[in-house]
Amino acid sequence: MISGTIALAGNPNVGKSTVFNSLTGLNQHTGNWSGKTVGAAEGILKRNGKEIKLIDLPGTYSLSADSAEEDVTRDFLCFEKFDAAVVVCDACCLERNLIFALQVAQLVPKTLICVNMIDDARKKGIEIDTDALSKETGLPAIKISAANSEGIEELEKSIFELANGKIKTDFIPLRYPKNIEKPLDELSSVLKSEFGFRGIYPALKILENDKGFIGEFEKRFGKIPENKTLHSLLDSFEIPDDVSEKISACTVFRAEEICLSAVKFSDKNKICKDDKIDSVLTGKILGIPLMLLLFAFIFWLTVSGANYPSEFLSSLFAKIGEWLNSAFLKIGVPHLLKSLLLDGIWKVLSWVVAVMLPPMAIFFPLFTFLEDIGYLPRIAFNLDKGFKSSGTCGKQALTMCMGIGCGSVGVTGARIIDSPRERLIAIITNSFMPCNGKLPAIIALISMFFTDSAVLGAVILTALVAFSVLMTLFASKILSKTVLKGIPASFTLELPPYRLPKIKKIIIRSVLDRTLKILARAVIVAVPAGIIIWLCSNVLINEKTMLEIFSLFLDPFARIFGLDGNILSGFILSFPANEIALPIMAMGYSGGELSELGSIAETALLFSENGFDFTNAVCTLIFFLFHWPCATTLITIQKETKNIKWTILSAAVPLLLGFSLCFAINLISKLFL
Amino acid sequence: MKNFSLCDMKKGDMALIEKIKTKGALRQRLFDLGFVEGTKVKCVKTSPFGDPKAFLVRGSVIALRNEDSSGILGVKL
Repeated sequence: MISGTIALAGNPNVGKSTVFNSLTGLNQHTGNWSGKTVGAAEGILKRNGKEIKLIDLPGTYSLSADSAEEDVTRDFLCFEKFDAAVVVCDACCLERNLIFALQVAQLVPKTLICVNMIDDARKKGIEIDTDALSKETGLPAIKISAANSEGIEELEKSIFELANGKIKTDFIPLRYPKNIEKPLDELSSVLKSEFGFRGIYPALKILENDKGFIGEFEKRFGKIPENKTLHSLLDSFEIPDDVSEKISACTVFRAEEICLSAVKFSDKNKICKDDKIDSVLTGKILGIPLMLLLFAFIFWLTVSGANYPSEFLSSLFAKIGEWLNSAFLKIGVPHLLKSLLLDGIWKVLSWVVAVMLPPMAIFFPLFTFLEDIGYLPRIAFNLDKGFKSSGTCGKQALTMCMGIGCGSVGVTGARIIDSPRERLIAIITNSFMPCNGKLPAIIALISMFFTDSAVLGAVILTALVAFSVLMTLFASKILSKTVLKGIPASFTLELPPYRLPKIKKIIIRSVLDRTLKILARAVIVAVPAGIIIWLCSNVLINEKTMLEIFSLFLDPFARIFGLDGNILSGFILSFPANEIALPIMAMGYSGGELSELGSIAETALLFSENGFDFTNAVCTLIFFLFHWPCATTLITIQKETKNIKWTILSAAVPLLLGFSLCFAINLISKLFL
Repeated sequence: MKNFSLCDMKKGDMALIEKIKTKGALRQRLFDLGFVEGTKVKCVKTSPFGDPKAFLVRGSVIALRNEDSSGILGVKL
């Protein structure tokens, strides 16, 4: 039985999701910029037969929400029913974190302060005195290190005691200037008695004339001017103009005061180590080249490391296929069914696994490593100027990074972008980044038609991704000047301290959360896709397969763009998932038999035998980068934007770009080569 | 120094915030991040293109674009 509900809140990048995971055991992803804390995740905390519901709210800097993610947190904390709140703070910058904690405590006096990452803080010579913190705030305080499971047991115990009232909180109210304090008290007591608020925070927001809060308040309780008590009360106040500044200053200085007694620095120089690393990684001369090199290196490891396991897996699957074949023959499975199972489902399935699994299993841990040490925000910092001149902001670089993982993750991740206009641009251009459904296919194409060398392959891949980034900037600029007119909004970006990577966690997280999840999706799609592809290439109409008819129909059109009918049908039929594009193309070329489909070299031969030349290869690569997003991503875009117009545009913009580029490449090659 | 704003700071400079002239949504955001009058800040990084710059404020590092930080006035320390 659930005996209480606790809200888990905190600033972004404080390891809140790690705390949530350690408490509930629910596997979920950490960090805030990659759409991991989408909406509000829920988990159950169990102890001695009792259960507590834990709500993991998106990380925010304040309750004066101005982004989609922050709306969720503000609305939940202000208007939903729950028993108590836990605010997770980063021990390394407790002072800034306390500003938010104090805001929450003014809303929900039953708040527990959980100081996370004390191991990192200790390494930097920062010591947190939780007794002093507790004494200064009147709130229970606990220090933990969620990544090392240190203090989790005590936190769990305290959460239960907080929920059942064993731990008492006695929040020490903040002091405000006289001309604010009096109206604040009067307004607050009305709000508490009439609308059931627990703290003074709603009164503060109404005095500040916070449009976002008032909007939500009026949505639930009706217009403030129509409420007689509130209206006459507000009329009687003389509120100074700089009220919101005064209130903020009081909160900020109170946080500073608390930290004076609760935080001890043993060595201030240790904090500056980050600056030294950053003077290289975000430096004027080396910043950008190092970033490109880093990505080239990651791609090189992925390309060179993926070859052998891929070959091994495809021969393994081929052997199992043969074994299944003879087993089916022995038990007398009808030929047609056997063909459907083996030539359709099994072949597509083994292709998807053999081609996708190795690069993902290499790329994801490396990428999670970059994420874990805190490098990704530096990319946004380095590239912001470029994005600004395209009318957007550096945070788009983060959603693009997520897009390399998965398009739909990139689309939801765009919630971190505050301005709705810039967020839409990031969503529409997100599919420009090669997601991991496209990446292995692109890697395969490169090694089939461009180079055997892993180094050269990585360079080509990096160049392709860099080209995608340029095209993203270009398309963003066009969108900013046309359908999504506007000037870049303001931009604040936290550069969290570098952290030592937790290798074990990185591997578990990237393999379980990312690789297996995405592989599972690909496999789920591969089975029905295998059936459909098999039907398309085996059902004969006038002695021609459906795939052939479709390809022949598309062929003249596709040739204008340096593709052919078979390639274009591959793209169209892989609408459910990009992973299956190459197998469909191979199946089409082999006339439905697909027996040759195996190693990279054999597939390359198959393609060449069907007249697939260098121009075709370049155009196919470009079209892989720029065509419509897969079905899952489009559904996500529709969910996120709630407007069919943006969803259509998200498919039309990359498609238009892909067609134009392929047309140009084809034209140039026909004219000059 | 008159009209000294955070966007004029170079890497390594320290300043004391005296006035925040920024308007709109960013104003409240700056407050929430700890940029209030009487706060000491240090410019700790500049992006390869010189904009944005990152400031150490109340223990955390926040990057602001020059046009946004130009509304934060202060004295150089």
